Amino acid sequence: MRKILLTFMAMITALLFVPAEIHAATYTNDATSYRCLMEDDANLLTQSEEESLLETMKPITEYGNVAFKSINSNTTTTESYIKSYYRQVFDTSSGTIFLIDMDNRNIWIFSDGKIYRTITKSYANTITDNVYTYATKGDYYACASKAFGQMYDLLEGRRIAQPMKYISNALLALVFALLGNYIRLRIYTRKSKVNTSQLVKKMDHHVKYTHHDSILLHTRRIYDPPSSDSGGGGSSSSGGGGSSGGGGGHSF
Amino acid sequence: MYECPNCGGNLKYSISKEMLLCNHCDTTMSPYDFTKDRDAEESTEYDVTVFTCPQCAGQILSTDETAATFCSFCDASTILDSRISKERKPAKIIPFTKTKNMCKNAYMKLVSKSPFIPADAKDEKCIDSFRGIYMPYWVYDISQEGPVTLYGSTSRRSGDYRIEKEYEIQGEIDARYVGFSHDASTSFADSISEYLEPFDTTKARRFTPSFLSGFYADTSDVSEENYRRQAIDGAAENTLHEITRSKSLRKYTLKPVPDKVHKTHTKLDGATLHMFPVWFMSYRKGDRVAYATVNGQTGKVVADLPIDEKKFITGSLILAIPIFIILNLLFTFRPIITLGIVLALSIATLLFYSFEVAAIKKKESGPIIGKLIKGFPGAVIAIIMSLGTMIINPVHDIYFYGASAICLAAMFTTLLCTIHYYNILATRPLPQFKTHTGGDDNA
Repeated sequence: MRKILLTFMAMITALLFVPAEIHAATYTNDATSYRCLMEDDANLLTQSEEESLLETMKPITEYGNVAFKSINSNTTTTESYIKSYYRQVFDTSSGTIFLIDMDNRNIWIFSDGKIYRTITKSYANTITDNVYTYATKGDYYACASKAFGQMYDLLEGRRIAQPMKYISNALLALVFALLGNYIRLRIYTRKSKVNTSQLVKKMDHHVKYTHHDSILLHTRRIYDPPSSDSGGGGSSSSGGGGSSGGGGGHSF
Repeated sequence: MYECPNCGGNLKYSISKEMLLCNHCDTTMSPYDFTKDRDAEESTEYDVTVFTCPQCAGQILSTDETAATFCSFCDASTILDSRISKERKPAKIIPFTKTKNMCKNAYMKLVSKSPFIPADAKDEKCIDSFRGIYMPYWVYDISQEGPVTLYGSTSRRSGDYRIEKEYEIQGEIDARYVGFSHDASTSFADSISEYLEPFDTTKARRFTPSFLSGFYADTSDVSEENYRRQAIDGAAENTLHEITRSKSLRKYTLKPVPDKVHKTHTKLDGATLHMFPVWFMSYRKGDRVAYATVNGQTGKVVADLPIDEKKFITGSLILAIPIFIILNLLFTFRPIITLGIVLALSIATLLFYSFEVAAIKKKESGPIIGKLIKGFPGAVIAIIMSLGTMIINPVHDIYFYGASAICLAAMFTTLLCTIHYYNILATRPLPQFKTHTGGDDNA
């Protein structure tokens, strides 16, 4: 039943997102059976750029599926679109997609499965941050090519430049250090004053109270039924074997 | 000077022996066994040498004529002017029980825990200048006697109803306090003396001037009337607090008592002058002075702890390194998130700044108040700019980094201003006792 439902949803999604003119190219890695998919629906790349980009993408198929997608119109957010698109083309298998959303002016990377362990949300953000300037200049080929290049570098265990991470963390480290030190000094330099009870303990004193009488002045009966709240039963739910992929992007 | 009957040496009060001790022949004597003719018990005055600082006019007393070479109140290294005088004799004295070494250790323990303390505060010579001074305190004798009527209620549940009963509670109180105290010296600021408490007044002994041998004493120049109200209020409040917790009244929820003093028949039976032991040290911080004190009976340390701005900056830069490493291991923040965090913390810094300024305005007066807005407008502008950047949400990261950097710079400036103001709060202007018209600095 679940499979039928998923297939139905995938078909609906496919119908919704099918562009008028599709520029698609595919490649399948015989050794791994992972696919390489290129759908330049927004027509951002020339034929030769598509071919060249496909060559850049092919090595990634050693680790999972890979896709390049560009779109001109999008009625949802870039993130929602890329998630739906991923399920449509790769379902739950390992893979990564690079999307250029011309409608929302965003680039986005979404990964899942084995690849997501390497190209995490943080890295997706880092890579898109590294390449968004190419998209801003209209050089979509360079943008996509550099993005796939950096993805492959990560999958191969190499390091990539992370200026965004280092600049942000340096700024935050300074801010936290300054404020942390200030709070620390305020805590350690605080003076403590004793209260009257503590003062009295250190002095010669006595307090004697003799209770003589308690005279009843009023009695009031107030209607105040006990709360009828009762403990709710526990609920449990078991999630399906959903995928936990993710990604990140940048506007351009 | 108290001469040793055996060798003629100088007898000084020994904290460890709780006796007068001759350092030459080790003769010990009870302070009460050694009474100069002029210290006779029935006398209301005793002879002392009054040392006056030529710079701040601060005065300290001693039974010794040996020249004092520095002033404890303004830290001036100078030979203090001296003259023989008669001073009002206190009724009781709490002798020192903490030695100078104990005092120095207690102070060092506090200072070592406190970050960014100026080097002067830890300087060996400075710490060695701790001086044992008996501070004059007024000790109030308060009694409460008579019928007392309170109002309270009880509450219990009966089915769907709550039954509330209100009572007039009649009783009688008989209370007495001998020990509510307040310092009686203008040179000893309330901001120190109130934090240095408590002194165990049950350990006070009858005063005899020989207790002062080897120590100094501060002059009493504040009238006991100044703190009467405070002592009376304290007694009334404490009595009501204890009555409320008494077994017979515990079941009642008592209504607040207006005019507690009247209600509890609180009256002042008298006030006597006592001498309480305080180790006292001062050091300069720019054109201001910081005090460090140790309760000579309990060892409690109360010190002005100013901050060395350079140490703070260096310390923050050093701390930023491990934070940077940890952040790199755990997080990758997008520039807009970074800006959001920096912005939020900048606003927090501005709040800290505002608290410090409000505290200074409460404590200080004069020209310093006019200088308090330095740094504030810049921070507000930076925050507005950063908020604008977040709303516009530009494509390029550089705008976010730029706004974050401006916010950080504003935060840095604000924090330095805050620390500068904190230092104003943590120190005090150089005292000028000549111009003092009476009453305590903050009274």
